[in-house]
Amino acid sequence: MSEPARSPETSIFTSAAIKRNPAWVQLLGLCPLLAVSNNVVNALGLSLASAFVLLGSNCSIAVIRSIIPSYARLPCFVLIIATFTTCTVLLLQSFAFDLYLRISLFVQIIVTNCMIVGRVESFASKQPLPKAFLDAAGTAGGFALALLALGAIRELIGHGTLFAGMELLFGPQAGGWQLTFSDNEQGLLLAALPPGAFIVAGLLLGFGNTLLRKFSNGRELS
Amino acid sequence: MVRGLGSLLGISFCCALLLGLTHQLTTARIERNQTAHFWRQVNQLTGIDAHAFRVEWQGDVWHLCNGLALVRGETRGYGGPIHLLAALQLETGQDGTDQIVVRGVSVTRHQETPGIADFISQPEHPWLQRLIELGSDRIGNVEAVTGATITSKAILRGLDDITHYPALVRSRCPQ
Repeated sequence: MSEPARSPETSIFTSAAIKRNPAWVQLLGLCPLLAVSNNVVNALGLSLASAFVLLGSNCSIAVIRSIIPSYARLPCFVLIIATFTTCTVLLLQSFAFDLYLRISLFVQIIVTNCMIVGRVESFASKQPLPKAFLDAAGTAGGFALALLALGAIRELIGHGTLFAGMELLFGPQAGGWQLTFSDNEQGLLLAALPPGAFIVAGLLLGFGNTLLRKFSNGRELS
Repeated sequence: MVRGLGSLLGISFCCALLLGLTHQLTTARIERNQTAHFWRQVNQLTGIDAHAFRVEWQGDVWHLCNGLALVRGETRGYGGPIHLLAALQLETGQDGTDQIVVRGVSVTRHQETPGIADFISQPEHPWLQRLIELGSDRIGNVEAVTGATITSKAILRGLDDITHYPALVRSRCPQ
């Protein structure tokens, strides 16, 4: 049975989110991915911050791509990404101050995230705004998916909970969202520590690649 | 070349404008958050509503004139300086010597690794709770936290530093 034809827009989005998933396929942005993914709220905070920077910089660069001089394109890209990163820092300090105190270090270094520079250089600087937006949304979605999967598994194993501390992002009413699966508050400490991040990330990477191969029916991954 | 320079100037101007606007929109809210965070920490440390006291730092010490003194300190952690705020009280032992007792400790600013050193921002964390009621002579006996040894030892070192000067904490309030 033949596969239903997908529109080019859907193809850009799914390709960026799944086939070229920045974390599991391209192995980009792993430093914040491993460091901040010890629970869901930290992972969600960094996902949203990265998505804002990615969407902002991709769209801005796609709009002004014709006036960016080619000999100075990298400084221009970094300037724009740094601007959006600083705006994200200010907005986080303004609307999620307690979460900012936890993940501030890794929000500030979003500017050096090669995932963002990579998408800007290889896609947004050559494509019109709608395509650049879809690519940024797909990349941000794929990164968020990877971060949240890692965060959820590590929180579950390391602390025996899920969605703890969501009030840091969504206000006091989110305090009751926490699911507790284990009375033992500590859980398996290894999962919450850096070695646990590498082990869980490695297992997820293997699992993800197996699934991708299965669904691509043995075709070469683009 | 000239066109390229013009483009660069234009892009820089737009970036500056966006930053300026965001700064303008968020400054008041950030200041409110910082002030609220400071008072929340002070109230947690002292166990009282410290709004009633006038903020009067003398160097790094603020005498609350109810027996407590808030002391600021700094220590070197894994990722950079860790700023501490501790509520200390001077007690006279049975041998007549003065000793500082920790009534509360809080980390006000740090650059430690998220996920590993999160506990230092959580005053209710069992390890930070263990530091409460300790005398200056017993701080050195507290064990470090597994996985965050450098960070926790840095906090103990910082706390040890600021609890070794009873004269610093001695009340300067009118009797």
